[in-house]
This record gives sequence, C-alpha cells and structure tokens, in this order.
Amino acid sequence: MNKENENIENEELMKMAPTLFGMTKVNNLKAPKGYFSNLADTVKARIDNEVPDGYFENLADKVIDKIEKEKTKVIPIPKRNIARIIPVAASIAAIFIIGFLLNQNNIVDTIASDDNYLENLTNSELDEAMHYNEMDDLICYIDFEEDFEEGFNEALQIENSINDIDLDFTSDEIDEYLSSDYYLDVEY
Amino acid sequence: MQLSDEEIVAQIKSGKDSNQAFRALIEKYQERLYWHIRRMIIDHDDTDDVLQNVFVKTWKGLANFREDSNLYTWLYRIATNESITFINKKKKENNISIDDESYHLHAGQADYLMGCDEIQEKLEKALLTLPEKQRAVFHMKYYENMKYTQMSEVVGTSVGALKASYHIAVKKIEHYLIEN
Repeated sequence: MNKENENIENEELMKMAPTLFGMTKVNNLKAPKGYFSNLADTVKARIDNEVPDGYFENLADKVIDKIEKEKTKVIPIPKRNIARIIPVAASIAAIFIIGFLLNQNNIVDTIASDDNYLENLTNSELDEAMHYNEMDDLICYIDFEEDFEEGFNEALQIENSINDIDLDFTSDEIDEYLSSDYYLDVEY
Repeated sequence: MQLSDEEIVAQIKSGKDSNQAFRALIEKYQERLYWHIRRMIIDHDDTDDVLQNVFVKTWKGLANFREDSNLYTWLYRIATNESITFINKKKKENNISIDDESYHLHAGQADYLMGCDEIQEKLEKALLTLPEKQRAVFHMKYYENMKYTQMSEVVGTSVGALKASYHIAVKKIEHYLIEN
C-alpha cells in the first residue's frame, strides 16, 4: 500500500473511530516459544504419514481384482515333466498289478487251506481249542459252515418243489385269478 | 537467500528439491498465516491444527495451482476457508448457532486476555463480538495493512463489500470501546 492511500485510510479511521485510532497496534495473542521453528517438520511428518487421497475409494476394487487374479491363476506344467512321469507311472501301475495278482493267489490258497482246516483237526485238537481264546472264532466258523449247508439244502428243496408244480394255466384262468383278489392274501 | 514465490511453486511442481521448496514456503508464510488464523480462532491448539491442515492442503493443491492469483493470496484464502469451516464445525459440536457472534466469550476462551492492559483487553473483547469473517477482514486491514483488492481475492467478496464490512467493524469496535 502506498503512502498516499495509507494516509487517506488513516484519516478515514480517525474520523470514524477516534478512540480506536488513538490506540497503539499491539498483538495481545502469544504463540508458544519455539513453535515456528518446528512447524515445518511437524507438517512434513504429517504429510508423509497421511493416507494417500482416494486410497479407500479404490481399496475394495483393488482387493476384488487381487482375489480374481488369485482364482484364475494357472500353474503351468512343463511338457518335459509329463514325458518323465509316464514311464514312472507305468512302472508303478505294473508293480501294483503284479502285487495284486500274487495276493489273489494267496487268498485262494488261504481259502483252500481253510476248507481243509476243520477236516484235518483231530478230536483232541478240537477239545484243546475249545479251552483257548480262539474258541469263539472257531465256534462262529463251525456255525457258519452248518448254517450254510442247512440253507443250501433248504433252497434245493424249494427249487425242486417249484419244478414239480404244474404251470400249464390257460389265459382265462390267469385273468380269473388276477381279478379275484386272492393273490392279495398270499403271504410271502 | 529466500526463494521467491515463483521459484517455490516451480520447484515444488517440478518435483526437484520439492521438499526443500515446501519447507521454504512454510517458513516464509507460517507466522503471517498463524496470526491470520489465530485472530479468527483465538485458541492456539486449534490454530495449530488448522494451520497444519492449511499447509497439507497447500502441498496437495500446488500441482493444480494455476498462478493466476499470487501464492500469498491463495494461501490466505485456504487459511480463511479452513478457519471458517473449523469454527462452524466447532459451533455445531457445541450446539451453538453458526450466526452466534459471541461464541468465543461463551466458550470461555478469553483467558489469553489476562496480562493485557485495560484498554487492550477492551479492544480484544470488542473484536470477539465481531463475526469470524468480519474479524478476519478487520485483521487483514487494521493489523496487516492489506489492500482491498488482495483481501477481495482472499475472502472472495467484492472490494465494495469489503470496504463496507471493514467500516461496520470499525464502528462496532469504537462503539464497544466508548460504551465499556
């Protein structure tokens, strides 16, 4: 502001507010000692630690993008590896097949030996076995053998009796039977 | 040697030695802006918060600073707006009407007047009766001898309206000094 303008404004102030004009211009407010010497550092530290503008606006999109990328991530398998895996896999498969076949033979042998097991036992051996822990297993084995034989004979008899039935029905007889509701009372 | 405003702006925008240039900006304007804000807000801690916000906003906004106004008035404008926003927020928090002119006295923030002589205390109390924006206008003219054209850029009001505002402020203060 030039001197002339300042004088004009001072004159105006003197006319408008003589009390104010007569007062000395003193700053009654005080700033703490050393405040201004640290302010630049304080402001810089605040700027450096501040979250960048728009960070939270884009955060959700960034996270979703990242998740999508993780989902569609393809792990490439080199072709050379497949060539190496094939003979190894074939060898393992061959070992399993051979092992399985050998094991089958053992099972057959075991079954065969089990069939002869009871026949080869002497009476004294059976008596002895009754007193040992394997007694329960043995009894189960015997029960199973007996049940099987009994059941097999029963099934044979039923089959024979069915074969003996005269199945020569006329179509009228069959219709009459089906419409009579008798078959509903048959117990199976 | 102190950098000119143009040099400060150019260095910050270029990114070369921008930290040094920004430090130079703070050191050049911190006191003037502090007192400008302090006159409106009165409390030192609140002033400190607002002043820091002003410099943070300045740092962020400098890339878009078009230099059609000078740096000095641009900084004052940011400081004025930040101060008014702060005062309105504070009033809202304390359930005080934004138009309540004697907010600071009610808020018991007149402790700083202790130690002033009687006439200075009266002047300070008279200033507190002014609305914040009018107090800023009075401060810029009476204490800082700022031109009305510059003040117009800072406050965003016409020169005529500012002259009227200053005259009203002066008359209010004179009235207060005589009556009390």
